[in-house]
Amino acid sequence: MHIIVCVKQVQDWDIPPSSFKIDEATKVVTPPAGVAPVPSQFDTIGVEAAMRLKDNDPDAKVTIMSMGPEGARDVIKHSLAMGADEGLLLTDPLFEDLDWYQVALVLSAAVKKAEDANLVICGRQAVDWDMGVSGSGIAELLDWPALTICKDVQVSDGTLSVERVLMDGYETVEAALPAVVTVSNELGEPRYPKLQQIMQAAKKQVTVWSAADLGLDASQLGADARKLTLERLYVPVSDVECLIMEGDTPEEKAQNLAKALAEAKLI
Amino acid sequence: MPLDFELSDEQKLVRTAVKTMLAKYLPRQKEILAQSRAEKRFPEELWQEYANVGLTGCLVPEKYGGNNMGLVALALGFEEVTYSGFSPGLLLVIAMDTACIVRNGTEEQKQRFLPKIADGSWKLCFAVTEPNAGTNTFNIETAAKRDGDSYILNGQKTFISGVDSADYMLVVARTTSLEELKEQGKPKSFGMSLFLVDTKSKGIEMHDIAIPLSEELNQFQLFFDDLQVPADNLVGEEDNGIMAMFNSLNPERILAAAICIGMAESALNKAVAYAGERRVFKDTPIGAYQSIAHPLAEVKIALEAARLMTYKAAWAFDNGHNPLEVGSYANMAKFMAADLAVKAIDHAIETHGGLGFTEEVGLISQWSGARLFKTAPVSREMILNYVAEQNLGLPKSY
Repeated sequence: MHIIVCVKQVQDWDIPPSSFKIDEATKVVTPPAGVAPVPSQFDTIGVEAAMRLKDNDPDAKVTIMSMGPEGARDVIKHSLAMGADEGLLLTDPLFEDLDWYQVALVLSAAVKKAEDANLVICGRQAVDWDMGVSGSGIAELLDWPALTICKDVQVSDGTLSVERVLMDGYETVEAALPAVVTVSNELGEPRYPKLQQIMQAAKKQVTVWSAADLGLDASQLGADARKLTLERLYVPVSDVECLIMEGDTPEEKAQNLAKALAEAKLI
Repeated sequence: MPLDFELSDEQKLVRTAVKTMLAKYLPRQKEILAQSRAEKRFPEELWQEYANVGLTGCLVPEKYGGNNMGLVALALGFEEVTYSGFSPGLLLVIAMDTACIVRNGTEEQKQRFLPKIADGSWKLCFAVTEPNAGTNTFNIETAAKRDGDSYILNGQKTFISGVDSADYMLVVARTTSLEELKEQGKPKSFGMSLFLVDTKSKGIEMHDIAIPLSEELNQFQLFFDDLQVPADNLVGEEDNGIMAMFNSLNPERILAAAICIGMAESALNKAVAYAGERRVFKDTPIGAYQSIAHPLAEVKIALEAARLMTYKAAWAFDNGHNPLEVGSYANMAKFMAADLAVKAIDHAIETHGGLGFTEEVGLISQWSGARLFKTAPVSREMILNYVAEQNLGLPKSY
């Protein structure tokens, strides 16, 4: 089994939101200088899912794939230090400003080029744009089944079995490999890289592929090929109004709360 | 060759690794801190995590079970620990002992101690300070006399951190007394030796010193009464322990600086976040006012400078520079970082106004912890004396 885990480099979500600059005219977000990007939280859970599969099947190969600038190598190294075998950095000036479809196009082209890959794991969504479409997009372009928002991933005799998180519980779904899985935080805490493994990761191979290596060009990755148009980028202004529920008893307060929520059409 | 300020890819990952390791404890942080305060004991679960991630193995060569990432990496780990609001606990004193054993220990001592330090199963502390020898270490009076295959130690130590949790302590004692040195015409820096002492040995009496600051690392006064230490536990040469001691004291100052940098960065980020959101007059965030913004900008400048100085000191240590040279950098880093931490927390409190004093924001409790580092492990005044004498060549005043 060859598992490819997609890991995106994002801005550290612990940074105060006020330190980001948003230019509404150019629709560009500028993070504060000097703060190191981090792997997207759900993608690290994807690495954990892959490592659990490898724990049960030591012959399984886990490749960490990240698309981005040269600096994305850092998030690959982070995942390699969690125990993954190899890294794959997709970097090219053409990859700099892609919409979700183009991202899925690049990632699926890389999976195809990897040839023996038969399981792709992604986080349910990236913590920067929260779109949650890459996994499904890759599956669609590869014509593989997509099993989304999973809390458990198992493989036995070439059959994939996952538990999908639902609003009111979870469901167990099976599929034959190859397939694409997206994982959610319900899967559990990702293991942390140990310093010893960080040193070992330094010796692991990171392959670099460009757009040309993937057989892609500007006609597919340029601005004209975008399928998504960003209409407006702005910081939403939140007006917080605090309403204290009156009532002589907790039950009465709860009834008043229910009424207020119903009037506001929130329930 | 160009000057390179870049951390290596591996060093950059250290903070991320420690941050990920601590993430699962953050939701329970208040509970963990309250429990360790009540029990006056560093949480064993967290200690095992520190060892598991590799913080206890940073200074230990790979052949003895460590990761050998070095003091720069350990300083980065310390930054993240305190940035996240946790304490490094005994990690600082263990690093002092580890550095000393690695650089001055015998092969047998390395094989006996380093694997157990690296995997977290043995904890060590450091005992140098005495009632009559605080800032002037050369005045220590604890005596060690050779007796066959052993040394017999008599004397007392004070402000010894974490000895109640430690399996061994590295004790600095005089194998040649000050009187003997005077007769022999030798300098006070001669005649000191270092010993690895089993804390469960007969002849050690411990008395708790009540210090509210050291919530997770208890302080003790120790009395040695005919304490027998195997001669095999002498670290480095008899009477020539001074340079070996520098190999302990330099990491101590560098890691103290890293602790302060983590605290300062945390306070600054809290202040910046609040200043960007808090509106008092119309719709302008208070961060737009120069009375709020400029002090925080000054903290940012001092933070960058202290961080550079700390990394330089750690880099010099890792690269085996002369301990006296490393000592200069280490002292400068500790001086800058301790002042920075107090200033950062103070300005963060000021930025938060009344909220800065609440338990929820957590700044006021950090202030006392940061203030400690202006005085310990070496006071800022003694650092100024050191720099004036060692780096400027000015006459000694004491």
